[in-house]
Amino acid sequence: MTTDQHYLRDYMRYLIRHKKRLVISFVSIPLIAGIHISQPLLLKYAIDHVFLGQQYHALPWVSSLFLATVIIEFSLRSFQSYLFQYIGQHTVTDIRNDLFAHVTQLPMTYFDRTPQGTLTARLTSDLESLNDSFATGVVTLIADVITLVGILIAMIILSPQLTAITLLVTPPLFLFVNQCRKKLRTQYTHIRSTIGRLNASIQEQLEGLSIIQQYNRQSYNEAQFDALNIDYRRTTIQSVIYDALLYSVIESMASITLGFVIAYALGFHTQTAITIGLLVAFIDYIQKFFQPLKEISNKFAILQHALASLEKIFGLFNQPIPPPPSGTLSAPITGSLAIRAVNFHYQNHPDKPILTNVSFVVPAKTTVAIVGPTGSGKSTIFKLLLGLYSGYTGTIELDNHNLADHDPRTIRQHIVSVGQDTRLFNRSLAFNITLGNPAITEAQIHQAIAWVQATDLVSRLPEGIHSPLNQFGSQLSAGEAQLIGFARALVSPAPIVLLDEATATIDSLNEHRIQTATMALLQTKTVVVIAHRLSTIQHAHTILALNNGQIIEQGSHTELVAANGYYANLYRMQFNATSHLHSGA
Amino acid sequence: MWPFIRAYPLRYWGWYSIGLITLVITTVVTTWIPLTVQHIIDAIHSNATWIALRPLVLNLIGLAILLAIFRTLSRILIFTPGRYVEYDLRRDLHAHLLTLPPSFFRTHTIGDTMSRVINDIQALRLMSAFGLLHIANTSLIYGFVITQMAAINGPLTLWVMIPVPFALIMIQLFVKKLYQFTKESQERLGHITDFFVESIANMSVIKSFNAESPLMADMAGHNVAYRDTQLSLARIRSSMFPFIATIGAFGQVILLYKGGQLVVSSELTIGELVAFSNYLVLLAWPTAAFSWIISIVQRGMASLHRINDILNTPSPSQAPYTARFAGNAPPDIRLTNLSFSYPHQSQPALRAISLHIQPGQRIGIFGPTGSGKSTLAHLLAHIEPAPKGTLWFDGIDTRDYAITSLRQHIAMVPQRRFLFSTTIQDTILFADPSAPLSVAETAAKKACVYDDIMQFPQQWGTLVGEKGIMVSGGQQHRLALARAYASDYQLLILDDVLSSVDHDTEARMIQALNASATHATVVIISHRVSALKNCDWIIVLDAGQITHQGTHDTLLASDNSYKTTWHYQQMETDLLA
Repeated sequence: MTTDQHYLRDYMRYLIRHKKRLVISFVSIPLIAGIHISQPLLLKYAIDHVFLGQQYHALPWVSSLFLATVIIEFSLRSFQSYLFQYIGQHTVTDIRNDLFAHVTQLPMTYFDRTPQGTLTARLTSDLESLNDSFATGVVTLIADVITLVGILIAMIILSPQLTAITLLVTPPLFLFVNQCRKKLRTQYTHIRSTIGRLNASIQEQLEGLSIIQQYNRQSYNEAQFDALNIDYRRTTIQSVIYDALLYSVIESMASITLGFVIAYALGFHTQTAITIGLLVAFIDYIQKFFQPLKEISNKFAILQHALASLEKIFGLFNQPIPPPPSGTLSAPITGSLAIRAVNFHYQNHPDKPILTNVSFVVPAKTTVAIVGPTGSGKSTIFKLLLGLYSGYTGTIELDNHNLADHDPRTIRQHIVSVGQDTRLFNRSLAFNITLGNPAITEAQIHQAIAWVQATDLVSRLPEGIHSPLNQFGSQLSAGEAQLIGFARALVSPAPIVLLDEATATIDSLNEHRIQTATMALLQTKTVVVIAHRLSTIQHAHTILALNNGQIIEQGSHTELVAANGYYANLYRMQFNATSHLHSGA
Repeated sequence: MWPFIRAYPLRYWGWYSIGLITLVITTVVTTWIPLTVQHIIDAIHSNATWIALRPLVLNLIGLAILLAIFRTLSRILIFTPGRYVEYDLRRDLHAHLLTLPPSFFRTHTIGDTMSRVINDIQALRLMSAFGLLHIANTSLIYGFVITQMAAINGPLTLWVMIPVPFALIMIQLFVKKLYQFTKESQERLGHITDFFVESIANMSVIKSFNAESPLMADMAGHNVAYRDTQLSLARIRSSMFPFIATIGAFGQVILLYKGGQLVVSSELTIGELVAFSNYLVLLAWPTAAFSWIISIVQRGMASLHRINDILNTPSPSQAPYTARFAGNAPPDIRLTNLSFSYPHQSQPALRAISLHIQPGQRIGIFGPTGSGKSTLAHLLAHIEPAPKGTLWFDGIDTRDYAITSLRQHIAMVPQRRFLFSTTIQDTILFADPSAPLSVAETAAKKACVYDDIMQFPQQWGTLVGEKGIMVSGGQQHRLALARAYASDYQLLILDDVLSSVDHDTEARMIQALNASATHATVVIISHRVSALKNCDWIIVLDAGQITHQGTHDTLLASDNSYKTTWHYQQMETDLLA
């Protein structure tokens, strides 16, 4: 319960933002209740005074008053209902904004271990479930509790003795409710997790749909999904049982208690102590006592669901964000890099070192190339340079500033990268290049498109750079997507460019044109390039050969060929392959 | 609506009908209890002894226990089939989604589709559980109460029911808007889901380019749009629902005035007036629940519309077929005047492609970025359905084949590699998870990824996919290749697989491909001449058209982009020398 209280407190912080509206809404609760209760009183007055007292002339007057209370009640209810929905919607919107802001700040290691679909579920269906329960549950729950307390006070005043008898049933009832609550809570938490897993499963299967279809794996994947779906069904049906029990038992408790009270009053007690009038009134109160209790139990189930959602939502909030170091970069950054004795392995994989004692220097405005077999740790170096992963030993310096002392976001203003494969956003082509940076002008976008030789591609699109791109419909080929990724890096003024097989899927002639077009630009920048085709690194000042996370060779092309090691071998291989073609011609 | 009810909730008519019976019993017992209490009060009033009262009290407790039992049963019996409907619908929707062609996903995003499978189905479940319960409950109580009231005084019953048609008119006025806003809000929730799916998938790019704040602004936009639609809904709900909830009270006003006049003229006793009033109170809760029903049904209808949008999209695998591909030999493939366009693109992706691929041939497809190579691969692999009369396997239009029988014998390694989050072993044995590890070993060796697998600490158990941080991009490419090798194919399509590795690995991969005993047809797509030079026939694509075709040698003999590229790739190496 303590953790629940913790989550509820977190939630309250959001509710409090709408203090004024909350206060008005809560004040309106007893107001509405009062008006609602006054209606039967008016009816009683009409019966006693108008009909029995034969003051018929008062009938229109009493009827009008009654009508007035009905209209006021309607208006107040309408107003209150809107206020609560307003607060609920605003709260959920605020939490969603904050939660997404929090998510964007989480370290990459978090995303590596959390399925994307699960995170999506946290940000969508968990919040929806919270919203539903706020609108229907929490509010009226408070009204019910107030009514309950009022009735209890009235009962005690009327007869403490009979109240005591009535309350005798509450301890076992409480135990029962608590048991149901615990069960429901476990089930709802399980339901929320299953929803997360269902989401993750659907997302992955839809993204890999063509693979599933190609290998005729539909039935296998259906079975996989079915297991989750059945799990979900089983838990929800169990929750239906407890939900139904909770509702029904409390509903029937009123009549059972009534039986006990009558039996006590008449069977085991002398009738002198309790008047008939008192008993009749008490019977009425017992029924009134259990009415809000029934409502509360009904909302209790909803509340348990809300708590399960709160747990998931604020559990995500509790994922720690490493505090960014506060070092300041002294401008201007020239763009020199120094990697000194870096060792790195991924979290939870200490048995597989990715980088071992890697050291190299990239002077400003020079090009360094990294070659090596796949899986040798080339891309990991880029991830460390971009500050996507921490936890390495050794130092990485940008213009003599230790990366570890600075907020990665400050560092990233000076480094851009082009990855092996570019995933596009379902937005316009322009957005995919600027990523929403308003400082980039349309002219710059067009310039970058021209650099990557994609002007033709853009002219084919119906709305030019404002055409929406469809990421999964393969509207653009992988090569075209990579061109856009390249353009994305080129529009940035950052002095350092990281190219990770940036032109691997682009044909040679286009690649050559891009190289020619960007040569002047890239000569003004510090470039680190990963490539397996040696032609793309011909302008590199220094070449590093990486194998199994270690630098095995380092030097210029001529030096390395002369050294007759790994690189020379790689070079000969490629040379032979092409010269073989030559002789074949 | 009716087809949905017939297909899903009606399947559980047994549950519902027993549930309805228990609900009737529950309602009857509910009305007996106040009667019993009335008798007890009357008995106490006439000074009855405890002995005389005892059976009445026991009766009351018995009824209460009966109520608990039947109330529990009615809720379980009516809510459980709702859960079954939810399960069935989600299962069917998922199964159908797995068969849909890429064209569906050009107009529907993954996030929105996910939202339909999770959120919209829940709306339908609510409709088939709570909705049905309340409809049954409300009609039962209304029927019961109106009968009782009419027995006392027919005309007065009509009088006090006057607000009901007003409420119905009010509902009629708002219901269209309610539906419209509900649908809009479901769509907006879909947009939000989509936004998250995309942002989370691209998190490393977002971080690398410091794009957090523009995206957050975007997110806030989606979020506020959703909230505003929800608030429009709230405005309708908060005027309509309390109105419905106060119908009973309006009835009371009429009762007081009209019934009062009847009492004055002695046409109605006060006792009857009180009874009328009590009956109206009895109607209050089910009337209020009526607004719930409307809301649930509107949401259900909006969701049903979004779900039917998926279910009504025909899937190619359901298309009627007259032929099955046996798959015991490579097919004789003919493309006749094949043109293909993607929607919203000004130019076709492929134009008038005619080609004959003989069984067992090795075909190379060469062309610059965006020339239509991958589109052709998708058509040959039957991921994208080819237009009728353009693609023929063994002389039969492929549109006449059962599509799964074709796919079963085609293996394609797409340019965009995709690995599911599972182990390396399960990845490679994707086509047949029951195959022995030796199959995976052979495939891994052939794809030149065996040594890579062995050097992972967990070897075959190494995780790939979303959580596969240990596996590099190049290794993932070759795992995808191994996955294709491990399947039983007569046609193998490699879309730009060989170009993303270094020359040494490329050479070894081609060698392994050549050395394999299979006589399956192989289509290799590449912009690297070295990957294509051994092909039996090479076609050169440009802007979706075949501009040249021939063998490596004949292509080098004429002027074309293949030759230029070959010379360029030649020169590249010379430059380094």
